[in-house]
Amino acid sequence: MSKPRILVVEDSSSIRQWFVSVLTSSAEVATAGNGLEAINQVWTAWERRKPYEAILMDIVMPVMDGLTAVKEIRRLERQQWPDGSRCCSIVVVSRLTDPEDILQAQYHCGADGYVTKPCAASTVLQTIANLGIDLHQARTQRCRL
Amino acid sequence: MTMESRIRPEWERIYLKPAEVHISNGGPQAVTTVLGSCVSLCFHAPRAGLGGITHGMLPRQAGAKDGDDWGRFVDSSITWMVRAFEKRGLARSQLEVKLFGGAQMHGVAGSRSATSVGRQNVESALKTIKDLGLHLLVSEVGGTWGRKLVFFPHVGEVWIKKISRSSLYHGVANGQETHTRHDR
Repeated sequence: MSKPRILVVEDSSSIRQWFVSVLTSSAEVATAGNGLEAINQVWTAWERRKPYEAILMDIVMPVMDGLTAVKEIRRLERQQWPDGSRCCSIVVVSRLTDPEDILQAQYHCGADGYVTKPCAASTVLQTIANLGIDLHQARTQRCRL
Repeated sequence: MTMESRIRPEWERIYLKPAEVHISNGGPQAVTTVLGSCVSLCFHAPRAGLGGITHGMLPRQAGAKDGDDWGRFVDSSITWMVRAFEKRGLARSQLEVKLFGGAQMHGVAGSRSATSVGRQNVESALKTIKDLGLHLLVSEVGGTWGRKLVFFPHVGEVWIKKISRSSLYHGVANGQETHTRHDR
């Protein structure tokens, strides 16, 4: 069985590397440094018929923030598949803990989940698994971000 | 690996009904509940190996009639749970919480969302979490589907299955998985 494809969108290179180390044994991982790069990579993946199954999205990033990117990805998705089905799950992973950010992400922008940093590897892996993505070979390391 | 297969036969199994709360006794348990617009807040005290869960149906206790059960309301059930942990010697700073539910069961996501009970329940939960200074780890809320939740309070793990509206309204606790988003 092929590994699920996951896109990590994060402007900090050290945090990007942390996500890659957590996910790499159980998923095919790609990275982007801001929201605009993420949209381009999602679009390219659709064109190649190899869509990402999950996107982990930071909020505060240069060029384009994560919530704008989530909204845009969901808009493009509706354009591509007017029946309303979603081709990927999006989890926002952010240091922002204000209720308004959490509500905005999930009720307005279309994110499926929200994880607050700092977080444990097990929290990230379990959140992805709860979205129906099979990560049964994931390492159960206890490292924290 | 399925959700059910994670539960060991020797674990105590508990079904949490709407408006109920549960605090573990330290032993291994699997607490199951089913959510639509209701919300559950799962508490875990990692060092003590204890956990607790609420199942609130309505956002706020204020304005409710006398005698209304505090477990029914999102804000009062969370406050009760924090006090219960404090009575066991566990400060709120030691608690990690995860929030689930709050689906918009009677409409389409994105339309009139500001007025849905599910969203009001989540708003109330987030406000109470902030007011009490709790550490929110994960939130998986909203959508137009139900959720079957299984919580292992001794380790703080929460496993979720999406369930269809019809399963929810027929009271089907063992709802079918609907992973249709990943079909492509």
